[in-house]
Amino acid sequence: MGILDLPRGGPSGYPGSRLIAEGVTVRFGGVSALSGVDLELGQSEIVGLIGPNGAGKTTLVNVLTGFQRPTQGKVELDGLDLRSDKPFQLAARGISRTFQAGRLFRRLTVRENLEVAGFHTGCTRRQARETADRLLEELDLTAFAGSTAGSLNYGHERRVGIGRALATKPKFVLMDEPASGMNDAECEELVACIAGIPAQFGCGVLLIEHNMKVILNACERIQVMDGGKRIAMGKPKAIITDARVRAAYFGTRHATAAGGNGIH
Amino acid sequence: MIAARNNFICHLKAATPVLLLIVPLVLAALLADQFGSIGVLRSVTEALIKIVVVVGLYIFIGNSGVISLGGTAFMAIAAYATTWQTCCSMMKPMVMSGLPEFLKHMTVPFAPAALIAVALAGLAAFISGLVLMRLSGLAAAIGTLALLFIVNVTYSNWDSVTMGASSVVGIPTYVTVWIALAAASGSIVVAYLFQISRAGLALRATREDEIAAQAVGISIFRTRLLAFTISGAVLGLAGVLYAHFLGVLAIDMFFMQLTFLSLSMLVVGGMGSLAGAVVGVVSLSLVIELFRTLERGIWLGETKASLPAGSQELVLAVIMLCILIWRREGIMGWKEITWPFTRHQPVSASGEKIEAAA
Ligand SMILES: Nc1ncnc2c1ncn2[C@@H]1O[C@H](COP(=O)(O)OP(=O)(O)OP(=O)(O)O)[C@@H](O)[C@H]1O
Ligand SMILES: [Mg+2]
Repeated sequence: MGILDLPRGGPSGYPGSRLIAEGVTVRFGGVSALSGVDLELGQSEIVGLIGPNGAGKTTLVNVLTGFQRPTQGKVELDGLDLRSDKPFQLAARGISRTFQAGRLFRRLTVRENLEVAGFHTGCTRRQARETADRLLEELDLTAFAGSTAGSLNYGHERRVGIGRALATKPKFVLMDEPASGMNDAECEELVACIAGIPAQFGCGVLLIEHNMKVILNACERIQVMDGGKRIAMGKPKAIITDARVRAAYFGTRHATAAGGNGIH
Repeated sequence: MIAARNNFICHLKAATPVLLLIVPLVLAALLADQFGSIGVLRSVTEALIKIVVVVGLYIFIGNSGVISLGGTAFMAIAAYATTWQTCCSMMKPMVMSGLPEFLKHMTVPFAPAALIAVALAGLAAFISGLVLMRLSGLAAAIGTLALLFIVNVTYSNWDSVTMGASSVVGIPTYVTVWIALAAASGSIVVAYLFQISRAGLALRATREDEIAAQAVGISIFRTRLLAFTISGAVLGLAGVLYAHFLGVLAIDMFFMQLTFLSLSMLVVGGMGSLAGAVVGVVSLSLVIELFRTLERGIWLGETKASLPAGSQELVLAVIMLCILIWRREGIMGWKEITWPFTRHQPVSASGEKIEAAA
């Protein structure tokens, strides 16, 4: 069965859970990292999130996964308020993520990295191990199962990060720049892998990425952010011709420096 | 039949990292018991008790990566608890007049007394952990050190039950080399079972990356609290052994010196593996024993040569420095010992073979 059999289009009418952020504002002292951002993610779609450095993409993911309390605004999963949940509780509710900085458990083996992510579901070590092995096979990582995660190259590291997020049996996976540092061939593989996730694992994907090729090939809907605000939202074709988006990316205004001291 | 045998071999394989630690200890105990002088036998017994201490520390520190300086506090708590139950029935009502009535006039058999003392140490670890396990990094180290001070100050001033700063004497000394061996082996097995358990793996994940661990559904607080409690109970066992090995108890036995000696053993052996904990105790105990002998002096023909007193501490400090400078991961460097001793075939904490990435 191909992923093309699934219904496509706008967010409404999708089956499964919905993850919603409404009017989310995050202030760090005087800096507004996010000001009134909305986001909606269904369980069987892939939504792209793009924007220049410092636009607030990672901060939004941090809010959705409980690492950052919003100063204002709502975060809901099927109508359930998530704002007071801790990160590990949100993971148990099915919201999983990868990190811009990888953040693998470097001295554990690749298999253990995935295994440990399955424990919160209450399964035994053996069950978790079986799930991990199956996932590794699907992600074509079986050859590295026994390697320590810290010994992998960049491309494989990213893929293990995705595998680990999927090993939590999520409803939603939020991916923070999974293709950064990958070459073209690796990017293509990654797109194929990500595109298959909703059908294969039954979870929605939020994909943050600077590589437009990856975004355009994988996503059915794209949200553009700049300066902590949502500046556009729509289908890929509409987005690449949007004047505001072009201004944000190629305009005279210089993007804010990346960084800060948050979670990446 | 074949399946059963395969299963057995499988279990045996999984148990090798433990067996390869315990078997040499058994041999050492046997040799010391058969051929050693009383001095050697006592040294071996003490080293075995130290293994319980350092393995107890390892369960929390090694798996969580959080430095706790409060471990010896749980030893003190258990050592006093077993003493209250087993010691000197004649003197107790007078010198420890503050004890509750039932304790004052009752002598508990050794085994239940030890169990109760260990449970009390575990409980103390659990309760203090409710606060301390919310801390990380340097704050955790300072918080646990504060715990050590609190226990020390409390016990050294609680005259009516601890006899304050003076020693309690006449504690029954039932700890032989065999009891120490059984305790050391038991603590190694407990530590190993913990580290291959789900909770152990989850804790090692938090050690590698706290943020990512939370993102995959691990509660850092809960996993650390569990390990801290188990660690506290094992350290409690070590405290019980100390009390019944020396027959004397004073609160300052469980203070800075023991804290830093046991931590040095863990660091020298390697904080990242159970084998490191054991190897650290064995190697540093050997060095300490050697220099103690040299300090006492040896006869070279007619003349007696001896090192100045204090050279043992100096050598320990130098070893510590060398390890910290040149081999920060300790002698074992995060690896468990496996059979056969193929080089470059390290094994992860769960006994899984680690292959080099292609
Ligand atoms: N913990 C923090 N403390 C202070 N400022 C922060 C913190 N985290 C992020 N910021 C600031 O918030 C803004 C948004 O940062 P964020 O990391 O969300 O951007 P981003 O869109 O992910 O950028 P990039 O593409 O570089 O990853 C930046 O100006 C950043 O410096
Ligand atoms: Mg970012």
